[in-house]
Amino acid sequence: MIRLDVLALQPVWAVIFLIKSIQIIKSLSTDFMMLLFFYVFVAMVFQNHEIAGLVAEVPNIKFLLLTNTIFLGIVLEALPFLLIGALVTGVVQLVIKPGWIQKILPKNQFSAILTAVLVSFILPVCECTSIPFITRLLRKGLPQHLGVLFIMAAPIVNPITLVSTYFAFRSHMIIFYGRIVFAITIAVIISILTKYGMKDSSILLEKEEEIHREHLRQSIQPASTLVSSWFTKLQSIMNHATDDFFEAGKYVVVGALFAAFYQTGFNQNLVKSVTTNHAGSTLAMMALSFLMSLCSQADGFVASSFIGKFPTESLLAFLVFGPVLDLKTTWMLIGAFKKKFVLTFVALFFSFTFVLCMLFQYLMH
Amino acid sequence: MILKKPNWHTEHLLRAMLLLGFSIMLVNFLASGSIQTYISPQMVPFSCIAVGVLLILCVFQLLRSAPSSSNNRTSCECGCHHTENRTFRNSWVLASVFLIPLLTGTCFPPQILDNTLVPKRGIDTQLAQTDLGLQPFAQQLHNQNKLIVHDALYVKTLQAIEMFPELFNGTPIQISGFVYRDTTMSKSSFVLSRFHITCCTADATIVGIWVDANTPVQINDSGWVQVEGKLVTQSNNGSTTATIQLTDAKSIAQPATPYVY
Repeated sequence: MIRLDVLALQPVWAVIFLIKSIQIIKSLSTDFMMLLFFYVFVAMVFQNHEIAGLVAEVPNIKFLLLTNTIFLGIVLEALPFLLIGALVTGVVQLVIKPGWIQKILPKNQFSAILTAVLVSFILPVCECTSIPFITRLLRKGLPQHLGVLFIMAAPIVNPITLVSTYFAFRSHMIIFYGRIVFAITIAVIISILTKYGMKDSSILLEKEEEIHREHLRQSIQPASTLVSSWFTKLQSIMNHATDDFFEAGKYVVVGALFAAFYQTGFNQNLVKSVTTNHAGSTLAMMALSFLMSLCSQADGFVASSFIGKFPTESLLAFLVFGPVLDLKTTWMLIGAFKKKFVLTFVALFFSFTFVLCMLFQYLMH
Repeated sequence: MILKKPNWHTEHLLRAMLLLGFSIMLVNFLASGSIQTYISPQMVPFSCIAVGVLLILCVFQLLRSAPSSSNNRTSCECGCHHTENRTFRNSWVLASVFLIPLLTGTCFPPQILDNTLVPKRGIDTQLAQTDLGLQPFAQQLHNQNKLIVHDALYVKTLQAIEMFPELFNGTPIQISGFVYRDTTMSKSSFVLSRFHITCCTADATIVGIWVDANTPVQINDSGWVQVEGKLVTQSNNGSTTATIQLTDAKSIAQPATPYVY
């Protein structure tokens, strides 16, 4: 009954998708038929208020609907930035030749790190864009320790986040400066540790398809440089962008799902009121920033609502820990890097954030 | 010799479909205005860009999946072996993950954040933000005979009242929001609140102001009221806060834009 209504309501969509699906199914392997039928069904019921109305009438569904609103909020919020990041990554893939990065980087280790710090101030990448982007740069020959530095510094000191942090803490400039100083300090320390700790072993996950893709790229390189038509180049950029979008996107979706359930299912005051001492509140705020999985542009405003209720160092912990490690980004890191590296990275980043915040508290009082 | 029929490239086709699905969903949200249930209006232009990018990527994925495409990149002469199984499994994982938001976005109605979420968030009656531009703004508000709090200036106005409570002592005020009451509050007082959203619903914080009435107030199910009253200052523990002394509360429907940004 409902299905018939749906078809009647959306005749244009129904026709387009039926024709399309018949065409496609003809040439498809049977394995995918079911999935595509499923999808066609979804597309037909799009914006169907009847289905939405039926769902709304299910008893006790409000909790799920609220969770869904927050889940979609995070996904829709991240989507444009994921796409922009993927496009930039696609361009990087094509434009930057292997070896070029090593050529332009200063030979001196100190100036190389300084350059990386300065670059992270101007890169307009937030946490969703930065991980796929940096993974691509690493494959293009960016030294590992500098990549690690970007992963920690870029989400916090990028221009967009800086502006929003400034507006959120105009009256508490110490938090604004503290956030920058802490992020850079931790990034530089862990970067140096990575350089000497990892030596020559790669931190990247060697993926079958990734190796294949690189292999392929090299094998078709002569041909593509011969043809060199702008359309081929554009296709290459778009294809890489799509690959990266889906690669990074699936972690964002899963992370957003967990974060949404946390936000509606658990009392956030519980985490905050767990303890009243400085170390406890700092740990609680780090846990909160991990679980809430906020965008680094927005977390300043959330943190500013905690001013006066929580000590300054715990707010700094919230602002430094969350952008680099939360439910989304940890998933993304696991998807791109070796597990051993991710574990070490999480442990180090956690300890340094905590120690620095405690040090700050000690120095201030 | 067996001639194989050229096949569509299922993995890329599937991706094209998912991209198309996301762009349709976004267009629907943008057209119906329900996008504002999920993200702040400031972020809407980015969603428009996203629709364009999604459609472009979708077209290129369709080209890539075409049977005769030169970009069909799974068969190559590099000597490495592709297990169809692996691609198949990856596609399933990908499809099921991305179908979650597509399905819930399609079949679930948008749910406005409401007072059931307040106990989870904790309410923010102390905004405690000293904004440098706040003093002239507070002066400007002070010069009005009656303080009518508009949605566009909701947070800023509440900040001004909180920063300079003495300035507003005795000022008549008109403000709307949803009512939140917990078990510790008496029947005659409540917190009038709004959700404040910066980027998306995940970063919603609740801003509000205390309202005191002499008699218990009856509020209908929607929980939304327009309050008329007078600001009075109260000092406890050395800090001065402003609360609204209620003169009239009338139930209103949930506004078209329930959040403040």
